[in-house]
Amino acid sequence: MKKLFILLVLINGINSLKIRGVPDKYAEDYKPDENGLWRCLSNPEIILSIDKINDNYCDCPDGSDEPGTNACDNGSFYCENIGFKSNFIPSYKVNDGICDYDVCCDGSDEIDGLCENKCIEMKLDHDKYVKEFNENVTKGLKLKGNILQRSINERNRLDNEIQRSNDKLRKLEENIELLNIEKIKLNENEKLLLEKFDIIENDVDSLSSSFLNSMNKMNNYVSKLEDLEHILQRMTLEYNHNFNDPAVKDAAESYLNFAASIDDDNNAENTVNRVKLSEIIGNFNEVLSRTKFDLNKIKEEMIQFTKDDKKKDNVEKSHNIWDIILNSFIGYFENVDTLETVENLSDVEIDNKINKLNKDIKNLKTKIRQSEIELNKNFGPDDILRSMNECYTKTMGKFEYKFCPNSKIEQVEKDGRTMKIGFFNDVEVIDNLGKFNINFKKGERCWDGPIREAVAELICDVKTEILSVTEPQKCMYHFKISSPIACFESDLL
Amino acid sequence: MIIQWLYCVTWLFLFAPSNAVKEYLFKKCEQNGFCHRNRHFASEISKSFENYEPKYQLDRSTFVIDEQNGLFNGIMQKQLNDGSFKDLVFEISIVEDYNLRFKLDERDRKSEITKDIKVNPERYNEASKWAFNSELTQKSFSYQILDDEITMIYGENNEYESLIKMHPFRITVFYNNVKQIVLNDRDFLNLEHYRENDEFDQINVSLEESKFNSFVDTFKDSKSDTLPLGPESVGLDFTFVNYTHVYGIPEHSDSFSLKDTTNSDPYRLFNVDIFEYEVQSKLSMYGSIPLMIAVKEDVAASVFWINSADTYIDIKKNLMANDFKDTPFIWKDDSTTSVKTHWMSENGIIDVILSVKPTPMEISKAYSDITGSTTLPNLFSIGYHQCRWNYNNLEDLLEVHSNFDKHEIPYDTIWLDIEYTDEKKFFTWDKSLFPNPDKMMSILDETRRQLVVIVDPHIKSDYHISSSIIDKQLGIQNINSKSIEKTYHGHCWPGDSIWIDSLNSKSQAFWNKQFINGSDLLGYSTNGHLWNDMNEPSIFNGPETSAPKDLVHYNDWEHRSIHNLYGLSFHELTYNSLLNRNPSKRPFILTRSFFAGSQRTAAMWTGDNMSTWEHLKQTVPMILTMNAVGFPFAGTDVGGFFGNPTSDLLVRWYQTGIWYPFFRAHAHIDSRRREPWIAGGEYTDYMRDAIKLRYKLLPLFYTQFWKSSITGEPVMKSLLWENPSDLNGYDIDNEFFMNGLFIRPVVEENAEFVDIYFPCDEETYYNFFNLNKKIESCQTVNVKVALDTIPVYVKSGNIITTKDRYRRSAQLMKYDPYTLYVVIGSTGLAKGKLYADDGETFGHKDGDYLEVDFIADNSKRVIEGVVNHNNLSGFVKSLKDNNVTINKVIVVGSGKNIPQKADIKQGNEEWESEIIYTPEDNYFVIRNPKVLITSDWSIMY
Repeated sequence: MKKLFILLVLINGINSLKIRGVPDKYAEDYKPDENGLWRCLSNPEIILSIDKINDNYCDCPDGSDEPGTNACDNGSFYCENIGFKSNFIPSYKVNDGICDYDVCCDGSDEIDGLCENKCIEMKLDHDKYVKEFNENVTKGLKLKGNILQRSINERNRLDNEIQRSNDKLRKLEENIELLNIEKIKLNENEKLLLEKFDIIENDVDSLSSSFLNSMNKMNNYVSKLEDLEHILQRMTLEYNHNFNDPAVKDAAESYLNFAASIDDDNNAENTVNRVKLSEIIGNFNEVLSRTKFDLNKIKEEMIQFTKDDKKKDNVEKSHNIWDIILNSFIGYFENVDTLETVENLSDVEIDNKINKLNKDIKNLKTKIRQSEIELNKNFGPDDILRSMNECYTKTMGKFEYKFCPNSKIEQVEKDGRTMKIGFFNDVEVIDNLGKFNINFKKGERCWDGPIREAVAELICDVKTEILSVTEPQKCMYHFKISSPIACFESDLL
Repeated sequence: MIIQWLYCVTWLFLFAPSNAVKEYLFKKCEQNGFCHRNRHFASEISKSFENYEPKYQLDRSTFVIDEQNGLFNGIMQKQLNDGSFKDLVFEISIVEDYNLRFKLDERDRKSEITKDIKVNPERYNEASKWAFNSELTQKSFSYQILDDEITMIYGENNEYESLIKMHPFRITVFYNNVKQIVLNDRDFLNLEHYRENDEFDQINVSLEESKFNSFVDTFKDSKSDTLPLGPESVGLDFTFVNYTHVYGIPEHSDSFSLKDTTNSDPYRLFNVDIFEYEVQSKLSMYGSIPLMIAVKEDVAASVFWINSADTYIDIKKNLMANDFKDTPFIWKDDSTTSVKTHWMSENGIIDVILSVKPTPMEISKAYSDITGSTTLPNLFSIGYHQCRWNYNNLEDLLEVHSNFDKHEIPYDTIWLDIEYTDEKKFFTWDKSLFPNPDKMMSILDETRRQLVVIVDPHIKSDYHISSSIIDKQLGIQNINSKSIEKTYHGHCWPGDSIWIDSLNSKSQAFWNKQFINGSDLLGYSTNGHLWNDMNEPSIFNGPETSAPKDLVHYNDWEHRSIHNLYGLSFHELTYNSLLNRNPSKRPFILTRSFFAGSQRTAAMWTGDNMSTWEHLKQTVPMILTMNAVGFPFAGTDVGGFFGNPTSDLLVRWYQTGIWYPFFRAHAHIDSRRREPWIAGGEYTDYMRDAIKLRYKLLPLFYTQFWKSSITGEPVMKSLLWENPSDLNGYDIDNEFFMNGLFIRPVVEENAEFVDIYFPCDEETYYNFFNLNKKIESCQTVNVKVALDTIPVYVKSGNIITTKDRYRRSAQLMKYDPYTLYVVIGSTGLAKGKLYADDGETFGHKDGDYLEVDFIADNSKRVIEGVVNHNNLSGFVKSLKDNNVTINKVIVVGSGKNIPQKADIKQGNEEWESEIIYTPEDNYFVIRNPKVLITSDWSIMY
């Protein structure tokens, strides 16, 4: 041990100078001066005798005196890896008894004999891997091309649709003009009478629609209440007793009381549940249509009475008024592209037609607006997610996950309940190659936690598939998804 | 309807989770029959203390004294109200290294029981069987009898003298002629002998006694307790004469120095799953060690109360009137400065060992002679442990694993909490989350990392493990045999569960089977280890979140009698199973519940603490206490279990946690991720620095653990254990020593300065990170602390051994060179020790270890390494083969005369080493002396 522990061979000049941990091309840097002295590479003010190189004691702040040992924290060791790719390995991995083949396939990071040289087989493995990998990426790129094309098609389809809708809109507006002109021609008396009926009809209409609105809201509340009851019931059955938390214990107990009181109420007549609600709505609709029918009859007779000089088939046409009201009530409208003759129409009929046209216009405008919003959505580089409308499911652990790239991520629990993890929020480009993650936000809130959200990390592959789900933070999910949309030319090795 | 519903919801959200222990779940003394009765008894006697006629006396005619074999026994009579006597059997012996043991039991108890009783009617007398390492040896004594007093004389130099007074019964222990401990000083001795009923009892219950809850339990969660044997408590008092400070009796979240309990509940020992516990509290916690140690300048004394039932301890100190200025109650009867203690247990025999030694370190030794010492731990287990409830699946676990290397943070062990199982069924894996555990463990093994998985004593109903336990009748049983199933069912993590009766000797074979090579849990891995949690036992629907006291264990013992040692029996069961799996490797087990003796086979942590500054501050006193009572392998959840620590708090917790003998970060499932790289930036840098410091000091920790495994001494050592002559240190519990280093972790929020008291020992304290900064002893210094400051000092007179190179895990450091810090002490000398072995097998028991003494004598300008033990085979040979050397020696405080070079000598060879020195330094460095660690050497400078 008193003999210096020399790991390098430095005899006979520069050509044979070989220093452990140093590539040949830098061997020159380790040439001593004529006095056998050497300077630290980045700290030339520190002068060492040449035998202090690789003597397992760190003298240079930059670690340059110990390229072949782990004496310096910041050192790095050169693995020649003949037959494969040479590499530098951080010095803390040198001489620790572990063959770090991922960096040093020749095993030179450890003392002789510990690690066999695996460079040749690793090269073969690597080449094979590269070949398969590149084939996969190439296939992926092709598929990605198809997806991109579909996205372009989808975009064009939307463009065309907007165009068509706009054309139709213009036509409808022209029709209204025509009708307005015709309307002026109509008899004043008839108009007055019909106006009165209009008021009644409008009243009935607005009353019934506000009633139905309320009933719908009620229906919503009841369904939410049922969900809540479901949640509380689950909590009561499954809550963790170890928390010994009076709030939870009391909540569970109170829920049981509450549930019992519902059962009591159920025996009474005044229970509100969804079955009952639909019954009420059904009854209402029946009464409404009967009333409308009666009203219609009266009106018919009135018109008959006041407008004897009008042609009979004109009156016939006014029979349809309730159908129209009813139809418009339920939001259905006929596609009227061209207006048939406007002559010989009664005032009521014209008004109805105008109303109907206005409704059509409104609907069309909504549709155009929606299409425009859809068109303006950011679906990532080259609009790629636009055509990714399909959803992908996979069962992982206790749950089934459903990944819909451009709309949402859900978790389906064992009991079938669907829990929204998040809705499509944006595409986040993460490097200058254009690689991106998809962010999903505003999912359901966690109990005692934040609102759920997820990041989908994409990995190039031929098939779109959920690879893994982790929850690195409570209720913040991380999905790894393989998909051709993550393939880039630059992936090729 | 809707309104009602809205009301319901609003009301639900009004209850924010409150962060405080649910005190109402746990019995106070006054609600707990036996404590209530014994405290009442003590208070009645104190009130009438001059007039009280003591009821207990020894019957001289029954004495059997075998002084050669160190045994003295006979009958003690308890006087009843009608003047008759109840016979008790006492036994006094001198055990191990001259400790006095006193035992007391009822005579003929069984014969007096006429009722049909479903449990073992005897008083439980097997607590010692579990607590002791082996049968105690008995030492001879000499004695003389004078009037109603017997004097026993014993010790190497007859330094001990115990005076046993027959009536009233009393034992006074003298050491070097000075009175140290008085047993039954205040006549609180109370042994509630068997009685069928006390409703009209005029004979058995004295005027001073209460009958509160003798046959029923009125505590709201304990009403179903059948109390089959009625009142059977024991109580006894001990006075530490002329002492002011007592320590020990964990587990409590309180100061290191125990407090007076006159105006509070007593300290309680009753193992419970205490949830979100509070700091500075006397409530019982997860484990119990009934050992109390009193210390003064020149002597230390202890009481070891060997009883595993529910126990309370009252402490009365000689307090000034000022201490009670808010209360009308002032003790007037104290003329001397003494600590008076009163011990009360729900049942069992009285079995107590009194020790008196010159120093607290020797008390630690005496206690470890009796209960055993910490088994030398695996090297990996004193590295850093990364835990969380939970790492969710294989990918998650491996990502955390690889992040350590990515961020260049060393770590050894990653942990899996309960979620790895299939629906919380222990011994199964959720294969959808962890498809191939064997493969996973082999990936960890590539860099010598370890996996710890949890297995608890509650076993989910209705799967093959619980079915076998029921079939073989290995579960804890109901007292009511009328029920269809004898095995007790309770509620725990998996829902309906049963509990393995680890006191049943037949359980071992069954348990072994679950751990053998190739079993479902550990497969064929070599790096899997165990975590035993919830072993108080924790039962969610049980009284005080634990087992009903009238459950029945093996041999019909009531759970009441064995409660506090159930946790010990369970982790020993697991230990033996791991040993059975691989007899050559040291098992590693972490336990939450413990009893005296647990140190032999497990590490412990302090359970479910919280992410607050006050909890961080509380950790040091708690671990100091564990170290004082012979259980040094202790830690707390770094970062705090519940809640989310700020980055500052987390950094400070790591800087404190690296000094815990057991160093593990853990977090609740609802808390945010907080592995060291999450905080980022300087915070991650500071955590990395702290963890790397722990690894650098591993040789020092390992050597200290080895010392502790022989002497029972602390690893984390309080000021008074290090130096009992410095009375200033008696109340300090935020500073400590670790094998020559002195540490005062910063546990205060936003601290810019901290006061550090440097003990009075005539040594010099050198800042470990800047040896030019030195502080002389015996002063309080206000030290500036930045967030990256860890106040660590080397105490002069020590030689510290470190390994300075970062490696990924502890085992990868084994052939790295050592650095020595030679810090010359006030006498011109310095010394240190190094112990090394393979860190994982029992090879050291066959002599495969290295023990080196380092000695420096500055007057002779020499440092020497003397190899005390070196069996040049196996691991130690590999140290030599791998040229493991000391390659840096830092000499501190050697004076102004700095030499140019050092002369090195090893064997027959001599050579020189360079010395690196700058004039403004307190120290110089001997560059690369290259002495082999495995044989003697000397360095002249």
